[in-house]
Amino acid sequence: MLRFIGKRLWHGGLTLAALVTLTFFVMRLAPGGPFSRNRKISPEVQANIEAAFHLDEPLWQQFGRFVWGVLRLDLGPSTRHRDYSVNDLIASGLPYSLTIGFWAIVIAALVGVAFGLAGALRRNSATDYLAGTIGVVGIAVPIFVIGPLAQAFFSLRLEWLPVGGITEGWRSLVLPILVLALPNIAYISRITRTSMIETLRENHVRTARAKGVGWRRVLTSHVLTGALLPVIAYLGPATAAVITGSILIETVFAVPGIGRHFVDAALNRDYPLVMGITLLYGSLLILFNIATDVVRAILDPRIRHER
Amino acid sequence: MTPMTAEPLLSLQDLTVRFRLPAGETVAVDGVSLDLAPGEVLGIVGESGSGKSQILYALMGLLASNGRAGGRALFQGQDLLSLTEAQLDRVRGQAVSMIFQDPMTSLNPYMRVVDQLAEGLVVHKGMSWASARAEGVRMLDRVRIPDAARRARLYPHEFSGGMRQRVMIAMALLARPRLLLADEPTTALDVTIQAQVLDLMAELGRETGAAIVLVTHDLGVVARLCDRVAVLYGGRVMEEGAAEALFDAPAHPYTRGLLAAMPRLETTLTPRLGTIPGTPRSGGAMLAGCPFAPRCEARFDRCTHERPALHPLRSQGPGRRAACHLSEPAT
Repeated sequence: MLRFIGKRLWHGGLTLAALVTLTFFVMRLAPGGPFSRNRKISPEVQANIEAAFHLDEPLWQQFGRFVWGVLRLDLGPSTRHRDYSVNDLIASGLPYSLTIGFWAIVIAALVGVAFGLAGALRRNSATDYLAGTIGVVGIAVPIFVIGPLAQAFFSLRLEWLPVGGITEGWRSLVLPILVLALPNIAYISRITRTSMIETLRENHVRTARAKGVGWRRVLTSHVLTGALLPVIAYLGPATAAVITGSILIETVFAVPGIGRHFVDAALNRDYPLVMGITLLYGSLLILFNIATDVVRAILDPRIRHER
Repeated sequence: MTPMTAEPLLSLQDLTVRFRLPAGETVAVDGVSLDLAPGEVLGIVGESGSGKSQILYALMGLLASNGRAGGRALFQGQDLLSLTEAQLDRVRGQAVSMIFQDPMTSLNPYMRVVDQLAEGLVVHKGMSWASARAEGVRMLDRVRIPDAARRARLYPHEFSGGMRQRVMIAMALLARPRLLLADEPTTALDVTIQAQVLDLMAELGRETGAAIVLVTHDLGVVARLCDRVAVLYGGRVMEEGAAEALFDAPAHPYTRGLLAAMPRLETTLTPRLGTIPGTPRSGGAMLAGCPFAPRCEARFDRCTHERPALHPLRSQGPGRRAACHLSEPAT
């Protein structure tokens, strides 16, 4: 098992290195630079600024500087947000994105799995139809439609919760969390239902029933493990995506998370911030994928014994 | 009826299995009546789709969700078909066990082999996991899994097909059942180990005193192991009798066709094996006549509109029965 984890970590490290290299060079392939837009500035000022950010150095030197910074966990200064380092920006936004994302994925996993199981065990029942409806709505209707609708109803009409911002403690987070959870509830309940129905048809489940160990034990010992493996495979990458912030959620609910930096930084050619965010998302994605693999390997000996 | 020497262990009375399909209802098993004495080995022979496996699934309460069983299946005086799921669980895996066709997929891939063996003992007999596992290892040893103590801790994917089927046999016999149902237990296995596995099953069945119902399409297997044979076609029993008597003097044209289609070592080599023209009947609606009539070379008018009853063949000794107008006693 340790070897398994070691191997996955090694592969993850390689992937991350490739990601860093690619992003760095692709970003610089795009025309323009951080200071090459709108306002006309004198060539001297331009040169000064570029020198301050080491943009005048040859590319390989910039890359070396960047990699050295990454190794010291220093992502450098933002070229757009004056006086802020990329570390500062991530540190100020990440807690919000993390909190909202964490609770959204926890709720989505619990509710989604519960709906999926109920739907598979009582096919064509009221619960199954309810879960199916939530599934269709959650997947088909985008967050920027559901978000404002939720604000209009729960905040403006019922006045239960604030419309947006982060000034009212946990009350401010309820709507963003629920709206972010909804599409994930939809996906998770559908995955759970499908894989549960498939697993119930498997031959080894029939063997377990033939042993007469009781329906409850058949479910817990012989069905659930197999049925939940695909759900776990989905949860890993989904968690990484959700806790690094959603630009839609953060825009609709005015949350100062890091999701908005994803788009802003690229538009502004804020090289260090783009690299920082990419690196953060990339490493979380790799980390959660490894975690997923480990959990699946614990549950499924066939994965554990691969080579 | 022939007089039975003992109270039957299992008595199927007019057993039917129907499936609801989008196209309508189909009858897989159509009024099968069979008795099984304690310790007896009964072979049920038939082509694919003849309903032979569905008989076993009906007894175990394992029919697909659109399937329904009718008639009665008295096991030790108790009608298995009328039991609830919870009541069935007091019979399944204890007094009645089952071995399935495909050993590659019939074991739980996420559970150690020894735990799958021990589970039944823990649930049914209230044994501790430790002693149930020890019992499981002993049973693995008896089905000749080499190095059983070590292998018991492995997972099914670390076993070969033959070993997995031996694990299934061990699992089925661990509770010392009175009745063992085997659904084509060797079809998925290598020809070279089929005989080993079958002999092992029969040997352990004899030792534990379990009666066996062996469903197969392999007449060789039947001849090797079974005391008695029932030939099934289109969900009905065509012919029944002691294995030797039935093979020596088949009374039904279908049985004769089956035997002619079987290669034999003792006769001189004929250019080709016999075949039965047409395709086997499977499911479909209720029939008025004999299900084999469309393929039967000896068919005459009565066959297509009057169902032949299963009647005793007195000239051939006790327990010989056939369902064919040709062998019916004159009335």
